Amino acid sequence: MLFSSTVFLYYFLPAVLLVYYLLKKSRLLKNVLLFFASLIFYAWGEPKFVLIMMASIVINWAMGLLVDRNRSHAHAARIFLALDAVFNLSILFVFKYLTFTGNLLYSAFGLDLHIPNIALPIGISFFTFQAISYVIDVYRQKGKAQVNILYVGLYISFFPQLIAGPIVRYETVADEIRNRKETLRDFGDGWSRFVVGLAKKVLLANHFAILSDTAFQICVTGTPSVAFSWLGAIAYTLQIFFDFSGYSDMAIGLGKMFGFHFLENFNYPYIATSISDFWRRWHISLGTWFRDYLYFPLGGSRVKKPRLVLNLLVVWLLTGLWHGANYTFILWGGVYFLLIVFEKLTGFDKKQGAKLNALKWLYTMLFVVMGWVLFRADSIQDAGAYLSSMFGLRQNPLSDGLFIGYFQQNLIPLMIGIFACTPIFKIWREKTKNSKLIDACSVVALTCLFILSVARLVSSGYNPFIYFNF
Amino acid sequence: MKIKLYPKIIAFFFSTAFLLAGFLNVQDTLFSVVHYARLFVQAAIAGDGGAFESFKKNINTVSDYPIYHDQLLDLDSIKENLIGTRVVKKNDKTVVKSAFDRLVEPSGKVQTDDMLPCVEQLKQLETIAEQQGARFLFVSIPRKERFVTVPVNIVDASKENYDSYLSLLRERDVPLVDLEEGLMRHGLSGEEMFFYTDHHWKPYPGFVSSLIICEELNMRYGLEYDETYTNIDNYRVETYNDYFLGSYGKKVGTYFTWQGADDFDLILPKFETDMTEEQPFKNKVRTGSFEETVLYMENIQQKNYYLLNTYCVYSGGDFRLQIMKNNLNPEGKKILLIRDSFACVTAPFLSLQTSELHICDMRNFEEFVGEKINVEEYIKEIQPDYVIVQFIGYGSTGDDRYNFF
Repeated sequence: MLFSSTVFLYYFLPAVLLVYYLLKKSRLLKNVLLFFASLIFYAWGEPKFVLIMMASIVINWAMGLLVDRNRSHAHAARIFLALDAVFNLSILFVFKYLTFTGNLLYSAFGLDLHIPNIALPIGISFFTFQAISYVIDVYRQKGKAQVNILYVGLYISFFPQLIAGPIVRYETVADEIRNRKETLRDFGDGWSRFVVGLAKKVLLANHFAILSDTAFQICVTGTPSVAFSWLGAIAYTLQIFFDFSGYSDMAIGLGKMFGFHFLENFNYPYIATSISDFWRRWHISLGTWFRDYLYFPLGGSRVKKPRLVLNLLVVWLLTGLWHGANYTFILWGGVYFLLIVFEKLTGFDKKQGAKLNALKWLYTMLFVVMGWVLFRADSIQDAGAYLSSMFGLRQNPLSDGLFIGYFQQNLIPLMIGIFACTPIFKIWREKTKNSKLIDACSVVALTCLFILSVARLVSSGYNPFIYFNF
Repeated sequence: MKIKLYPKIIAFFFSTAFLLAGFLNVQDTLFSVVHYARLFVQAAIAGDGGAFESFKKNINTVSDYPIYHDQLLDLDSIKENLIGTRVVKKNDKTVVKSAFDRLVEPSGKVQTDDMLPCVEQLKQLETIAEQQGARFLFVSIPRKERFVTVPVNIVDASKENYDSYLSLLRERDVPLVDLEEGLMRHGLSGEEMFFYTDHHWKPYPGFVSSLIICEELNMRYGLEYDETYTNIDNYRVETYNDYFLGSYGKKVGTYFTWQGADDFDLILPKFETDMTEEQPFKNKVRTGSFEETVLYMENIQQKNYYLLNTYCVYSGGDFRLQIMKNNLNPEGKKILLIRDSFACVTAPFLSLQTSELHICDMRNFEEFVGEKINVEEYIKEIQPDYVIVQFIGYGSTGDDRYNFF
């Protein structure tokens, strides 16, 4: 089930909220409700994959207890921790990477392992990383091991963050699973955050999706102009930001409505002035997950330069691979590795100055936009063709009717989208937070945004889910 | 206890009120959800493995057409209009706002090789008709896209496809009449022919097409026809303003263009009529005046943009087989008309010239399953004087319309 669907908005969410708040003070019953609601939410897409998630819950619950109870025997605890990591990564490997590996072996060595095409359970990368986080945080004593399997189940399967993140670390919500307090203010904040996220996804991301899908499709079948290629790439840059950050806003908002406080996942990434800065602002929960559970254990940056480069290589190749089993994602991660190594070795990130920052922003966005082309393309060949079009290397014209038409028809959404990528509104809202008039306007604006989003959902058949690879 | 009403909480209540008001407004929705939930529980208790899947399917179906659907669609259409959207992709179809606010659906280029099977099917049908003593005519209707200017970012090959198809038909010597030329000869410009929000032509061009067919049959085969029935002065034209939202309008909402909904003309005979309309596959027979038989007045008695198809006031819509009999002309000719939906408007007026007009729709619609007709056998059975095929656009085998045998 998607947040941006009428079945979620009209039936699932109102029903869960209503029953949740009718249960008043029984924390246990509330958690039972949220757990079973999450299973229904997940099963709505593909019921059989619920079994995989259940297996993950049972094994990680057991491993959490074993790690906790063997804490006095450090060696044994580490073995259970390693076994847990192997189990979780094996699930991920089988469902996400086995077919890809088989194809790789066949194309490289002609070795045919007869691996069938395995369907990818939606959100598997998110809930597997959360499961790993649970056992590691228990091992590191950043959260207590849960004796009651229900609580581990709720942590791993909680529907707001289940299929598109953010990756909520166990230490973030360990206490709130049993001891949270719902407040009217949180509920209001959560609802408004949810509406803003819904609007980002439905009104902006889905709109840009039409333009970017058209551009990527045309690029495979023809040779669009330089200007249209750039327009398509920029549209995808906006689409993926509003889609992903919209889902994160909805998840954070829903969490708040149920009394949970998730960490932020995006912080205006498109104002970044370096690639390192960009990755501190983009999909923060993934970046910090890799940092704390992989990069730091490998030694982080407090090592000699060759080792630092190796650590970064491992982290960025795995970051790329996490996004999907395709050469495009590996290359995408590889490009970011090179850029970040460049920045780390030259101290690029630390150089400041108004004019310099403008140039640094241009450099950052240039590579980010080109990176999204690689990320969006079905193959490296397609990405190459698209990037060639962007730089006029396919003897394509500078501009064409496609560009003129689509630019004119998307000018207003593009302007709104670019504006919404900046923190201008947030800064203005901070300055006017004591204005009753602005408060009243925000009531109207939020209600309008919600109704317009529902209207768009009802009217449009175009509502892509772009995380099926994750 | 003092409760502070945070603005965001107020917004939540407004939004909830919006959902609830609509939810309770459509009692059927509430009853459906409860009903499906009850069925699911019963099936699950009985151990039905598919219980969840069917519950999911039922709820998804209910939620696909939520409360205030039409109003929400219209609201969204205003927003899309304001922000300058001209291209809407929906359910694998692309609807485009062309110049002067006419909604169209662009077509890709169709290769000549793909058109040839349709030409051959027509040629074969002509041969069979001639063998059975019937005269044959293909009536070609131009697509609306032929007469509009689409935005520069849209590629539309409708004109090219139409011309190629007619060339192929002429090369194969298929007897045909191009309604584009005919309608223009009768003073109708391309822009006047079609609705703003629909892919169909307006009733008047449909009416004139019956005259053009009669003229063509007269010229080619000597058909004598009654000019009383082809003269618009002998009809009363009632115009229903802002009454009809066509197929494209239903997809994009009423106010995607400022033109809004279309006006709709109802053309009613001033003269006496006595007719019978039969639908053999449905075992349905209606006898009475023109209005009581070949018109379906229930489609125009109320304005409902989304739930009614006003266009279907003529002929009642699409049927695998429909027979219109003019009881005042028992000695008239018998015509077999193989059609698509454009004939809904042509057929009632053409039927006045005949003793029997047999109308076959060969398309593969779901509601036609089990009602297949073999045109060759049907020609042998009814022995028509004329076999007419009237189709829009160019040869396309996609929907089985050329699957005559």
